[in-house]
Amino acid sequence: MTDFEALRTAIIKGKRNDVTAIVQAALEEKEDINRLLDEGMIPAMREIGDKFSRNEAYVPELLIAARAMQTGLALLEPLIAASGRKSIGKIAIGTVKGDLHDIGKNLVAIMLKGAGYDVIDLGVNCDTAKYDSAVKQGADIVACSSLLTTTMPYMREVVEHFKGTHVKVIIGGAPVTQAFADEIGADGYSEDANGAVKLVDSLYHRAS
Amino acid sequence: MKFKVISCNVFSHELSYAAMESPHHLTIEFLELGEHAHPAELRRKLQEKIDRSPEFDAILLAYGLCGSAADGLCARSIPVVIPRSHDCCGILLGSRRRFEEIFSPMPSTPFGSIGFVEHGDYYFSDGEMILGDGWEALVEQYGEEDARYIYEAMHPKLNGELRPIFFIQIPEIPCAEAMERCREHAEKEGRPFQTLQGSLHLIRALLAGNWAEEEFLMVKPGEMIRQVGDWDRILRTVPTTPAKEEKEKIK
Ligand code: B12
Repeated sequence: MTDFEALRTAIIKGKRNDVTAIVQAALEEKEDINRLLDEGMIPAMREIGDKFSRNEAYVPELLIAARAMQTGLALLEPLIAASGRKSIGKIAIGTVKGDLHDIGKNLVAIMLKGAGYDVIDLGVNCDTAKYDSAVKQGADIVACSSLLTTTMPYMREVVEHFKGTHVKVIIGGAPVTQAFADEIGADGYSEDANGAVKLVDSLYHRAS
Repeated sequence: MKFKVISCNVFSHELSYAAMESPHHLTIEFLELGEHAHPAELRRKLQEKIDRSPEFDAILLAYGLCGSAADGLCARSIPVVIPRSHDCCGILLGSRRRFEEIFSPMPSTPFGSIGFVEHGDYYFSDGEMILGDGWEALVEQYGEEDARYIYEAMHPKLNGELRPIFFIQIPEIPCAEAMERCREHAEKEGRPFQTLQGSLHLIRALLAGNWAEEEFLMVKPGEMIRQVGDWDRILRTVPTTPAKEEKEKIK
């Protein structure tokens, strides 16, 4: 029997060795991957994210929790691929040009992966050419993150760049607002990682 | 004229200096530099202070947009004046044009000043604002392995190198000791250290009541500050509609 409580705690506390042990044991017992994600890993990630928003967790805690989550996801990924499940969508995500903040971007990438999307993580300091390279690999949603009000203007350029193509551009990051998204004509905005998943679901017309 | 000044304590030296020259009656209140780590909370605190200061001719904010903390602030019965600046860097440099010239090629470049050193920003906090930023504190709390990971994440590199730090020195404000601390810290990190000459121009003009439209945003009663999302105007005003304000509160 998988101890979901222990799995959640290991992620929240950023204990990646514990996460590895619990997930491996669960996989040996043929635990349902969806249950591992939906009852263990994703709620844990959501909880640490919420704690951070309430100022009850610090950046370092968020960082190691995200790393623990990534460790767990990496164990599941080959199994998801082997199950032959068709990807429900491919998303390119990156922090925009001029910006090196990536903690929020990584959380969004993790939650999208957890929800079953293919995610191409372009890292930080992404110009339109970098986003283009991911579109060539089949991404049809480009997700831009910005943490500086000085790099928000670049989001305008990304939106302009993909205007008139099939590519949808969504934006986020602490200083970004719905008002700004509307103004620059982005296809969507969300203020946190859970919202980002719902947003992407809605862009793919999946009920969430 | 009677002005209420609400300032980040990153400007404590600059503000005290410029206040001596101002012909106006100033009541100055400082907020902690560390507040900028939580822009939404900072916005709430600033609005509360604005709301509680009706007995002045104007409220002067020694703040920039500061990670959108100023986005959504409303003037009540008296005007609010704020420099058009993304953050304290532009204010310390004395002009947002100069800030743009130096920082727009790579906005993720750290900067410091005497106020940063004295009041502790992430760069100097050693575990205050962002818990465990200092190496020893990190190891103690998270163990060597996780500490290494956290440290690297908090010191992002561009093409394998740390960005240089720019220490801003303003000629009127003695800052040799703070500058030396900043230089030592940069050396320890392996980060190039550079200096920039700052200017009291914006802080002086703010306190003197010289609010040129080009450099300051004047928010009249019934108006609200909105970020523009550009390098040029940075801030604008919109009418405060009750609905909008409600939405701000919910956020
Ligand atoms: C951590 C941090 C850093 C770390 C970054 C580490 C890293 N690897 O990312 C370090 C210490 C390196 C750093 C540096 C700088 N920083 Co900094 N930093 C922060 C801080 C405290 C937290 C940001 C964060 O990670 N939050 C946690 C994550 C989880 O939240 P998030 O990013 O908002 O993401 C969530 C949502 O926004 C959303 N989301 C995010 N992206 C996307 C994308 C999409 C598509 C969607 C839908 C949603 C979405 O989902 C996420 C999860 O819920 C903020 C203050 C703040 N509270 O915002 C300042 C802040 C962003 N930094 C700031 C500044 C100025 C800097 C510097 C450029 C300058 C300096 N202070 O010297 C430096 C220089 C960079 C460098 N090269 O060193 C300012 C920005 C001001 C401005 N002008 O806009 C802030 C606001 C603080 C301040 N006022 O000083 N910083």
